[in-house]
Amino acid sequence: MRQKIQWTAAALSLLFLLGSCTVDAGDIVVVTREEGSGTRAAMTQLLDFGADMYITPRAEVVGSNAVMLLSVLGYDRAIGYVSAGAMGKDVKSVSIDGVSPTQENIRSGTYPMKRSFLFVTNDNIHAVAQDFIRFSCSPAGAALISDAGYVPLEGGDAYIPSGISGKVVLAGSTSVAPVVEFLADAYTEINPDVHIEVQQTGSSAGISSVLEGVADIGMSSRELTDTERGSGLTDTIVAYDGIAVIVHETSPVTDLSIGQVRGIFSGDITKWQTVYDAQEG
Amino acid sequence: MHSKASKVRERGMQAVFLLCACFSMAAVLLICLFLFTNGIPAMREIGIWNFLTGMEWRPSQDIYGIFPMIVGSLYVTAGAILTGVPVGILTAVFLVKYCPKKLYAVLKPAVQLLAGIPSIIYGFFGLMVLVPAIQRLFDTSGKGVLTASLLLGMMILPTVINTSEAALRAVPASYYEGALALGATREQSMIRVMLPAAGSGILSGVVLGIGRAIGETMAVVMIAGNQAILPDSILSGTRTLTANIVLEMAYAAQLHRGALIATAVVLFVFILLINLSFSAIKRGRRI
Repeated sequence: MRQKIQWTAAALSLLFLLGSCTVDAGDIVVVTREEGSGTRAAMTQLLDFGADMYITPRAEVVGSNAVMLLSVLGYDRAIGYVSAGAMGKDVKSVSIDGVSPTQENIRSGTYPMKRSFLFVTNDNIHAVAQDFIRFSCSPAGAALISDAGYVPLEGGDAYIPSGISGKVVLAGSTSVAPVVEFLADAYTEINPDVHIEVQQTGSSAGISSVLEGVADIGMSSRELTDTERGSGLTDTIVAYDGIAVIVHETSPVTDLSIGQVRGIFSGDITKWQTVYDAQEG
Repeated sequence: MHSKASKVRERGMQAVFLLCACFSMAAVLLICLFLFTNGIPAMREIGIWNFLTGMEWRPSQDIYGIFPMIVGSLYVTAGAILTGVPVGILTAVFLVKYCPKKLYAVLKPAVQLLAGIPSIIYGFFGLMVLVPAIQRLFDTSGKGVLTASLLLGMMILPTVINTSEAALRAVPASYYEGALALGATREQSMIRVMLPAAGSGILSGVVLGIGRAIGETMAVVMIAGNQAILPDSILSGTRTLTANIVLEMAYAAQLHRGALIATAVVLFVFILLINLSFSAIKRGRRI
C-alpha cells in the first residue's frame, strides 16, 4: 500500500514537472543562422541592428540553410530566414511591408531586404581570374545567374573568349558558391584550358584566404568591413539576393512590416498573438 | 651468420614498434600543445573568470561567456546517463542470465551495430523522429535538453551494455549459486548479489558513456536547439561545448576563433577528468 502511494506521488510529480515547463502555446520560435554566417550578417545589417542590438539569445541556432528549412517547415510556430535564391518552391515566405521576395521585386529594389553577392580580389589578381569575373558580369553570365534563381546585374559588356589557360581558385560564402559553380561550368565549357576550383568556406574565411593569397577570388555574401577594405581588397558585385523571411505553411501570417521582423528577431515581440493583433488593427 | 641477420631484423622491428608507439604519443602531445598555446592566450585576453562564468555569448560584440554551454553539456550528459544507464544495465542482465541462445545471436550483433552507426545518422534520426514526437507530446519546438538526452542515452547504450555484460560475466559463478543455495530467488541473487559484485566494472562503463556523451557533436548540434542560454526546463533549448565549437568554427576569425579553441580546452579538461576517474575506478577494481 505504502509503495503504491509512493509510486503515484512520483508519477504525479513527474507529470507536474513536465507540465509546468511546457512553452506557452503562442510563443514565437525564432530560428537563426550561426554567428559568423553571411546570411545572418546580412539579416542583421538589413534589419538595421545597431552595435547594441542582437538576435535574441532565445532563438534556435542552426548551422546551415538545409537545417533552417527543416526546422521551419517542421514546426508551425517557427520563423526563420534564408537566401531567397535558395528558398525552393515548397517554402512559405512572408511579404515585407506588402512586397514579396520575387526576383523582380529584388531587382527593382522594392523588396527591402536585398544584399549583394561580391567577388573580393586583391591588387595582384591574375589575368585568368579577371577573365572569369568579366564572364560573370557579362549578359551571358547574367542569364545563368537569373536561371539559378538570383538577380543579376544589368548592362554588362558582352564576353569574348580569349583562349586563355590557367587555374582560378575561388573560396568563400556557401550562399554564393552554388551560383559560382553554375558559372564555372559554363565558363570552362567556353575555355576548356581553364581549371576552376570552388571552395565553400564561408564569407569571412574566403576573404581572409584572398588576403593570404591562397585564393584568387573571395566570394562574399556580406559587405567588406572597414579593416578588410583598408588592407587593399576591392569588391565587385556579381549578383543580388534577397533574404526571405519564412514561416510554416499553415501559419496565418502572410505579411510583416520591417519593424515587426526587427521586433521578432530582436526578441521584443515574443507572441504570435501580438503579430495577429497588429494585422487586424 | 644466420642468427646475426635475424638479430638485426629483430632490432629493426623493435624500432618500428617503438616508432608506432611514439606516433600516438606525439599525436596526443601535439593536440595538447595546439590547444593550450592557442586557447590559453585567448582565455587570458577575455579573462579566465569572465570566460568560464560569463552568461552571454555574443561574438560580434566580443562578449564570450561559456557558462551556459558548460551547464548545457552537463545537463545533456546527465540526461543521457539517466536514460541510457538503467536501460543498458538491465539489458546486460538480460543478456547474461535470461536471454535464450537464439535471441542472443540476434541481440548481441544488434547492440554492436548500434555502436557502429555514425553519429550524423543518429542526428538525422533525432531530427526526423524524436523532434516531431517531442513537439507533439509537449507542444514545444521539440529541440532541447530532453531530446538531446534521449538521443545521447541511446548512443551510450552499446558502451554501457558491453562493459556491464563483461563485468557481470566476470563475477564468479559461485556468487550466484551461493545466493540461490541460501534461498534467494533468481532475481534477488541477480540484483542483490551479481550487480553489486560487478559494480566497479559497470561504473567504469558508465564513465566511458559519460565521455562519449559529453564529446558527442554532430548528433547533438542537430537536435539541441543550440541557444546559448541557461536552460530553464528540460524542454528548453541548450547549447553544448561541442556544438558551440562546430557551429561557429568555420567562420570564426581572430579572438572569436581563440574563444572557440578555449572552449575546446575546457572540453578537453572535462574529458581528462573523466579519463582520470575511469583509471581510478579501474585501479580500485576487485574483479
